[in-house]
Amino acid sequence: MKRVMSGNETVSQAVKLSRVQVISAYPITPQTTISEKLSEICGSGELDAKFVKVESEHSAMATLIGASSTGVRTFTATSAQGLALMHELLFWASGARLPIVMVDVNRAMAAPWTIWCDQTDSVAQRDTGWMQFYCWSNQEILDSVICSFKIAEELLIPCMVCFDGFFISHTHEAVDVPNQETVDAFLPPRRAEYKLDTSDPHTFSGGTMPNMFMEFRYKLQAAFERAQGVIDETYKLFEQSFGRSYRAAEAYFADDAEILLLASGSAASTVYHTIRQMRESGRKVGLLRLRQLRPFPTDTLMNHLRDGVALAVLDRNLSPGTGGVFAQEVRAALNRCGADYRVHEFVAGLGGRDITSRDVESIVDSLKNKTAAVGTINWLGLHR
Amino acid sequence: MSKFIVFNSHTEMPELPVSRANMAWNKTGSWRSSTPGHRGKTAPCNFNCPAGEDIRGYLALMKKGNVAEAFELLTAMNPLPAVCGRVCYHPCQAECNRHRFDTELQVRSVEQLIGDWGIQNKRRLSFPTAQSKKVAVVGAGPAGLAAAHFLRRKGVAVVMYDENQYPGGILHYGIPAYRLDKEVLQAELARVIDGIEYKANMRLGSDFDFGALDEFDALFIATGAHLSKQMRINGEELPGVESGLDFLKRINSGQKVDMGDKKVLVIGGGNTACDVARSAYRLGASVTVAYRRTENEMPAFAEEVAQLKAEPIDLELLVAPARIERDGDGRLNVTCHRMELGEPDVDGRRRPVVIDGADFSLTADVVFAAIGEDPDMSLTPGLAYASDGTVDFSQIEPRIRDKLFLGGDILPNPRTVPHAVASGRTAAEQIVAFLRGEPYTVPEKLTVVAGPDDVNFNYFTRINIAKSAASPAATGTLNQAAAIEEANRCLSCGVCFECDNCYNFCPDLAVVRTPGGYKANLDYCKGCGICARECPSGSLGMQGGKVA
Repeated sequence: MKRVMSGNETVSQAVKLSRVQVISAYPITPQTTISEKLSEICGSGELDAKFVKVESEHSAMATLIGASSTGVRTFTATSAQGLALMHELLFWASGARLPIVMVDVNRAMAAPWTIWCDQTDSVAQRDTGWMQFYCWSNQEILDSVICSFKIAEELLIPCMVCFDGFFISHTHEAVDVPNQETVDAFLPPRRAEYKLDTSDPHTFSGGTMPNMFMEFRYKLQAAFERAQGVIDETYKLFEQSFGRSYRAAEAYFADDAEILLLASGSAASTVYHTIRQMRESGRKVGLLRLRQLRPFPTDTLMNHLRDGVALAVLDRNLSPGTGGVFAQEVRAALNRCGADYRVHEFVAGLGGRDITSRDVESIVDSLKNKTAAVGTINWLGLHR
Repeated sequence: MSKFIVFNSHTEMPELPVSRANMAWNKTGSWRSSTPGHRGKTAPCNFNCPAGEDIRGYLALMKKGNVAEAFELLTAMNPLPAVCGRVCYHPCQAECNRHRFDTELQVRSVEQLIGDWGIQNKRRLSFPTAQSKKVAVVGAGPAGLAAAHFLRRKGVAVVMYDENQYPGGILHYGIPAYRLDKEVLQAELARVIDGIEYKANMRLGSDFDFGALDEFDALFIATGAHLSKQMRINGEELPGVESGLDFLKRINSGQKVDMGDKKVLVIGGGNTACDVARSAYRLGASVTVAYRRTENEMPAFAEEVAQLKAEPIDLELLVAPARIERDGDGRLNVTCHRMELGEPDVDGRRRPVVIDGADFSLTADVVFAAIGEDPDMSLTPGLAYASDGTVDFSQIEPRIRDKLFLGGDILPNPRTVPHAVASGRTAAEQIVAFLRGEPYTVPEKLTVVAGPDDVNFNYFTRINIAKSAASPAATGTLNQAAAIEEANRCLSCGVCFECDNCYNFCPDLAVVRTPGGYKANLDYCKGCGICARECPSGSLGMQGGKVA
């Protein structure tokens, strides 16, 4: 059934369809309407889940760590400072191998104070051992949340689903909402091999000596290395049940592109619509939409590179002192594969500033004219 | 117990950091440096109830809607709930910790409902039939009634003597009907004296004497205090100068008392003065009350004073009568001193001092003296008060003296109904021990009161009762639903009410439910104190040291 819903409401629908058992969340703009809706459907009994009210995001994550340890399916949502407040517990969740799923509605990190969109909040958590997915539509949000539970529970790695605050969270789109039976068949109840059980008490994540700690990190890394296979397999099953398919990164007009733009989130849809028009005037421009930051889709990236292509990475985030985080990741992936490509990095849209078609055109023009800088940030739309 | 598991490779290790072995062997209680336990505090209502009622206990039963058990628990200590629900000065409410939060719990209204429920449901209290011992109770006021009742419940045969036709003493003959409905009183008393032989119109000292009580195994004397104190001023003997208490007794005996158009002056500031003034006003008199100190020092209960002031009655403060004369019109002319407050008295109240040259006069048709009451010693020949206020038994013949027990207002107790009830109940316990030839041991009473700082108010919701039936401003009685709602406001100060918070919050699952409460499993309790911290009523506390 198709329904017109905001990005945030889509999350609530996905959580409900996924039969989450424990939810804990603390309100923060632009995420708030997710937790509001979830509290309503828990309160009304529409979803048979425990909604635990807390006094901070730190406690929300701590609550889910406890709950998830008992083998139940858990969910939370947050943004920006809220996500940063969870930081230490994000490591705990991944180190304890708890398949928690969280939505981060991307919002710039203060100071100065802001509620508007950029991705700096989630990309700053890339080293916490969570998988990260980035969405560009409400349909993709619904599908990604459902898939995330399956992927996370298979790998025992927590998973973050990210999308842009306001641009997506508060935009209404038609969403195909699957029926419960189909979701249940795709996503059966969680079966935890290890769980807190008072009748058979075990110690979890207790003090670990140097002779074993590294092995646990090795196992987490190994799980990440298996992750892409599990993700791809999950997408295959998803397509069989729901008819929609996803990949780690999605290419558009990339096969013969002389200029390839790499982008994520809502900015990728602006890129898509701009280059589609440019294609009509014969310009060989393509898009590779990055859907994952962790695990980083290195293989998919390499599959879409052809000799002589000019690469531009559009980052709506900034790691001050270096540059855009996706650009760094692309460079690292290329280097790791021994590929020698110049990466032009563009930073745009920080703190909610619009990224327009004209911005996209200026990227393409600067690459074509070879005026784009290499080795330093190309700032887009900066008032100079 | 423990053994080492050696992993030679990461492939042998579990996927996540979890112990291979069941860890129940690890008795983490050994880490404990403090131990949770009930602190043995009592709720302020219970502590302050003169009658010794388990108020918190019956409120807890009311919360569950269990009026029958609430009635049983309440009447286990006080057989007069319908009466006390109307006339007690309810120090339980004054000290209620809820006072710091929103409004003190309206205990008196709940007590009244429970008492009325007992009457409406014709509750009778079970008592054993076997009666080998016999006790005489002299005086059917609240002390005598309580003593007789509790003796009877213990299987003792009781014969009760009173100088009046009806039992009740001050309840019947002193307290006006507008404060204590006579039907309620009679219904409650019928239950209280169930199984007791009542001998009416028998005045000790004139109709019979101690010698006539020789056949009894024990005697309980509670003849009260109803001789109005003398004002010790000239003109006190004039017709029209009367005892306030006698006036109340005439009204309460059903005599027709006409006060129409009369001007009445009441001397005194106690509860009797208030009752006399308000009764006279109801009979048509225009009434002035003269008291020699200020309102702060009035011995009447604050509520009585407030009700007095709410009526069209003049209150003349810092006024004391000096002499009374009959004037030419046949009216009483009362010359009064103007007073001021001087140094504090022995009881801490500031002493009234005459202001020289400020005398003035009041005229009245009737002057009621209500400055206090003394026991009538003619009722108890042989008894006397020693100079220190204690009772002197020495003139009573030993055969009587050895089985003689006293209670109520003839002892130097606060003169309130709940104090009298407690006095009678305690005497009953002492007599039962005496009849068995056993020593009497005073029941232990919890003496540490849970104050507002002991209550975790985060767990309670402020409730505005201004518009509810339980509001102090509301008139009339609570219905059962409103009483249950009111009981639900009880904080259960210092006492466990089995909310499961400790059980739910304990991170070590070391709180164990037991019948009627919880205990810590000390094998695993690490002494973190979360249970005590999250205890809403402040019942749980942490004791320092490694208590085994």
